[in-house]
Amino acid sequence: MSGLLVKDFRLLLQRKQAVIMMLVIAVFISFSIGEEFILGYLTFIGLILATSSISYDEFDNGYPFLMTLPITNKTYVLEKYVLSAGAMLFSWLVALVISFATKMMHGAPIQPAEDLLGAVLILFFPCLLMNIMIPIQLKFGSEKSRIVLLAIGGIGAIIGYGAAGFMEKIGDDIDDIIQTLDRITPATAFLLLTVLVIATLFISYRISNVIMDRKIL
Amino acid sequence: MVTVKNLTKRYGDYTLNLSLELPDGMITGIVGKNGAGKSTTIKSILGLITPDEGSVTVFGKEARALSCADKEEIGVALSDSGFSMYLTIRDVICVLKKMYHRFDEKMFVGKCEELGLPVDKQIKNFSTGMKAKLRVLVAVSHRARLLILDEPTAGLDVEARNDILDLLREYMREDENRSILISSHISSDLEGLCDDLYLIHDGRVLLHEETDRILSEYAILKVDESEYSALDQKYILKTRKEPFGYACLTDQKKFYGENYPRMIVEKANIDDLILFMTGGK
Amino acid sequence: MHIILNNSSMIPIYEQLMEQVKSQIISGEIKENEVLPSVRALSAELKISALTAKKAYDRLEDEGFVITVHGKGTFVAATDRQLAVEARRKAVEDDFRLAVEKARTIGMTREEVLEVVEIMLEE
Repeated sequence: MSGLLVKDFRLLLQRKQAVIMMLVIAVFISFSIGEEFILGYLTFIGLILATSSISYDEFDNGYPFLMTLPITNKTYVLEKYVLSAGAMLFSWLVALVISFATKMMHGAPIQPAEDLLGAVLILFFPCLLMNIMIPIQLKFGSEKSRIVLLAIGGIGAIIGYGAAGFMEKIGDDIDDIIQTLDRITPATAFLLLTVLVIATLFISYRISNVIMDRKIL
Repeated sequence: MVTVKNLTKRYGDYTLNLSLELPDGMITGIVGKNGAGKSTTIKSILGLITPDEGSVTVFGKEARALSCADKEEIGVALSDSGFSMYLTIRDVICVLKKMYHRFDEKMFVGKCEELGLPVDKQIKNFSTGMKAKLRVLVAVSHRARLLILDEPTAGLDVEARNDILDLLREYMREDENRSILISSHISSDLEGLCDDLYLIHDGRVLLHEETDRILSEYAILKVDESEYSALDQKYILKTRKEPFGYACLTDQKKFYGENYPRMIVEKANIDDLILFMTGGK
Repeated sequence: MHIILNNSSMIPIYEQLMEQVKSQIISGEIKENEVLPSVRALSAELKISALTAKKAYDRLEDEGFVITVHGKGTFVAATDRQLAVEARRKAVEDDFRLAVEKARTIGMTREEVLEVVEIMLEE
């Protein structure tokens, strides 16, 4: 596993200019648009960089050789989750530092507890995205997975739209739901999201393993 | 070290079905034309593909179920797959150090210098020969018991090919119990390296013979029609019609040399053997 | 040990190898108890199959020129060099005898046979 992590880290270093550019943009956005945005933005970038290592493995028919190294399919899959989680956490921390720095420079008041809770809540969404992206990247490869992700996004939007319309039709008041959601305390939301992330992570990991075992090298 | 028993793999019309045995301390070669089934055989031994039928065992274990410790004992070079081309040799060294407990960094770096492989350049900027040398160097770098090499010399010039063969000879000299499985369609490489040869064609083993016997006892008899009709066919493996009469492949050069002293008996090399066994009647 | 092999010769490689080692043992170029290169080392050096090298060593052992101690290597045996020289000379004499007999059957004279040998020696 450590060998794979070293490999992906070294590959990432080959793209250090791109990474630095992203950081510069992040700082710029933080100062001009707002510091809340970059938490999501940078974490997302971290995730994309990590999962793109799958395309690097796949590129130039790299898989057959990779799988002759002393690793198993399971280690390979696990490493992708560890790498993605690590990259997200790292970029999230960087974003946090930048956002606090921006706030301080702007002279805005810093409320550590509240800001931190908000930042943690933001972290859940890239986590959910990771659980979707890794199996899709493994299954479809870099080219097709983009289309698949777009398709999933589209289907999600349609379902959401349809559900909203459906609820209106059956007379249930949307406001009611929104009010219910409003009543959820941050603690409950936190708990619900944690459960959701862990549940999807579990499913995602299992699916990824099956995909890897069935992959034709 | 490796036993392939009745390995069967079907791809549409094409069926691979063969058995082979890789003894300890031997260099075994798989020869055959492109598409004969060399790569499929090698991928099965590496556990990259699951056979439809039959079994493949490496170190006495099912190839698909090798542990990481077992895999550390195998050095692999594939013709069309390797480390990401975006890495440099320096990166590869870091990865190998983490992957293989017995990685010999000193030897690896020394060889890179000797073979003219720059450590700070991305592999994608390497020439074909340099890439091939690196792949084989990686395979021999971690003191494995077994090397599996798929077409390591394909498309290379003589010099690069010799560099690679020398790496393999050195690897074998270090420990007499090591084994190599190497596939190629360049028979001259195999003549000077392998101890045992399998000739594969259309997914089957056409011939399994020790290199020593091929070079010392196989021969081509060149005969005209009348000589041909008088010829004892006992040790003739294959006959081909020629403008002058017939060319016959035998594995008993001595027999024909002694009994037909006036006949033309030519030494057969592995190229002749391939041509004869895969064509002819 | 200096070995030069001729790959295009009709004489099998192991036989060429055997004869050259034998010559060097008889001439004293390779001394008694000296270790010969391992089969794998020799095959790597000469770019021949290990089995070919092994075959040559096995034959040399059969003829009493070397001894292989398992796990230690192949050593030059204590051969009676005089005897070995005799044996080789005898082999040559046998070949000559055959040739002379053949010459007689086709009615070559003593002078003619000697002339042929003279010419051959001058070549």
